[in-house]
Amino acid sequence: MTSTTVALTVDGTTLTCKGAIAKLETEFTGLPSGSVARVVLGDVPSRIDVRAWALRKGHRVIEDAHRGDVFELLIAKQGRPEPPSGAGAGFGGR
Amino acid sequence: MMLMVSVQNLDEAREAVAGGADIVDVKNLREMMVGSNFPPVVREVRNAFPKHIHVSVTLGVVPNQAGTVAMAVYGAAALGATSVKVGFIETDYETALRILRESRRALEGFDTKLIAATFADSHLYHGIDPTLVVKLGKESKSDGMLIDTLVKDGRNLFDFLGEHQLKELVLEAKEAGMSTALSGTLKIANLHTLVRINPDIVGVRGAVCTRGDREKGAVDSAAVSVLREELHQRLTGKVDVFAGVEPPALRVPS
Repeated sequence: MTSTTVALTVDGTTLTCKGAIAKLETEFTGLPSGSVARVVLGDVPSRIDVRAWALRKGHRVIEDAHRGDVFELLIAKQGRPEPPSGAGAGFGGR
Repeated sequence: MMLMVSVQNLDEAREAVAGGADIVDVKNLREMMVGSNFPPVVREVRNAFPKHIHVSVTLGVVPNQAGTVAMAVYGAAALGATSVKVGFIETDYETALRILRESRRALEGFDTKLIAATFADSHLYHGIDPTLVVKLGKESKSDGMLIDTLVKDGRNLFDFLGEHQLKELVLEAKEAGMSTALSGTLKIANLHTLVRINPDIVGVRGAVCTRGDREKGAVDSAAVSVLREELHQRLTGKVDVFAGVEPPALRVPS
């Protein structure tokens, strides 16, 4: 993982009714632009969903690593959404 | 993704938990197939397991009476339910919203989560549009949403709502901070699609009952265990649920 300062860590590997996106929505939204969240995920569909969520919200995935049984993503909060690069954008990189 | 198994009594709840269920959903099949069970049954099930095993209570299809439903919701909370599900069929949007808001108020002081539920096959009963569940959940400040089916004639969730539509609803609900659950005669054959949609909770009964019969059969721990493992294989990518599938384009805010 890079030396980027992480403002928020969301552990999506612990089974709860609310998944990582719900947690990101409630906790990441209040942080200033440029803040970075580390998201730890235990499964492939959640990784794809979080990447899709970041795209929809205009945030930037600056790192996406597979470490053992988990995926670790670093997401930088942006000020406004970016357009998708094509159909199905956000599902790549799995 | 959590596995929710619908049970009718403590014996079935024990089977579900032994097989790896995360949530036991207490219901009563004799009341419209998705109805409420009796308070002593809920209490017995709740007392049998530690808190990390969630016990949900379904109120099934509720009447259009906000006070009656709020009292039932309060009852579920008083019994220690992790969540209580309030489902609508022949209810207009404003009435459903009022019922959910009163249910929310009834849960003040409790940890019990409020789940707004609609039925994918609602149109068969001239009922409320099931896709309104996310809007209902948001406006009532519900903790989560569930889309189920009412018909138990072999058709299932995907006979009424498509993958792309469900995916959008699930993402929208997650973005609103809600938990998301899908149910409705789901089987192992549906796991590929379910995992692509990726709700927080998947609910089953018939698929984990003896003889695959949700009514005459009983929840079987071995069947629960098999389904749990099949789900795990897909979640971890050991079975690739995205192989050969063109992912739907994502809606991006303009």
